[in-house]
Amino acid sequence: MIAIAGLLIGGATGALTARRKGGRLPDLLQYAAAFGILGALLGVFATIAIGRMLA
Amino acid sequence: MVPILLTLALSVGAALLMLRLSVRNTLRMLDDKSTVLRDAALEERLSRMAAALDLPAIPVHVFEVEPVNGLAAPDGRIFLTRGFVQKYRQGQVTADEMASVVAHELGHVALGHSRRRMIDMTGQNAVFVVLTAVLSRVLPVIGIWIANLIATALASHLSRAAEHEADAYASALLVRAGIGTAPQKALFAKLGALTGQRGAPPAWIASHPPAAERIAAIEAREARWGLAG
Repeated sequence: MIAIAGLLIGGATGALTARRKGGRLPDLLQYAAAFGILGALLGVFATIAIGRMLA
Repeated sequence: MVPILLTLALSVGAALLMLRLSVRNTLRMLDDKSTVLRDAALEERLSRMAAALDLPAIPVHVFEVEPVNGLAAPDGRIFLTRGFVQKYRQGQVTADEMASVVAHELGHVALGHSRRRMIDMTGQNAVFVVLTAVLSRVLPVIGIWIANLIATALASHLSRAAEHEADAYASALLVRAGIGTAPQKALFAKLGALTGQRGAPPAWIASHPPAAERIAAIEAREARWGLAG
């Protein structure tokens, strides 16, 4: 679930970043996808770290 | 990016802290309101399951509350509610069916579900926070409501998956212990009547799969394992 949160945060951040740089729809989508993947990946690492902490 | 990450880290941290506290409270309450289950017929089943798992014993506790339920505590202890034990004493539930409940809860313990659930709940919190932030911009008032709905539906989906996993573990353990899958199915068939639940919640938001689906999954396992249903 943390990975899903990361995907959402990354996606939103990416879209906002692209818009601030004056990008059009395809740019927004591309940035959202790239940032989203990054966010999900960070979320996976966070899940593993927390899981180990709780073990 | 930095403020967003900070918000996320804070919400995850706060959720983790709250969960730790609630786990401590839960354990304390369980300690205060429980006794060790003593019943010859049940203990005979438990020792057979323990032997199948190579364990010295499977202690089960009775939690002194009315609602019919079984639960696995975060520390791995297994509880049956007083209400459930009463149904057994009244003859509404057989010893084999009670064993299937313990097997299911053992599945939750063995598969590490309570830890996974804690992590997922922190994630659920984070998903809710982010969705609220995004949706509130577009849909001022109902944004929060929709965000909550999505986060809850995601969590329910994970919960139902965990229930199916625990059911599968229980089937395997029951077969190994010589009890078989029949009592597991029989219990699900009467579960609704036992818990006094009228009208199930909408499927996509329910924490447990519907009984018919759980029975069908057991039958699929029987077929796969070459057991006569």
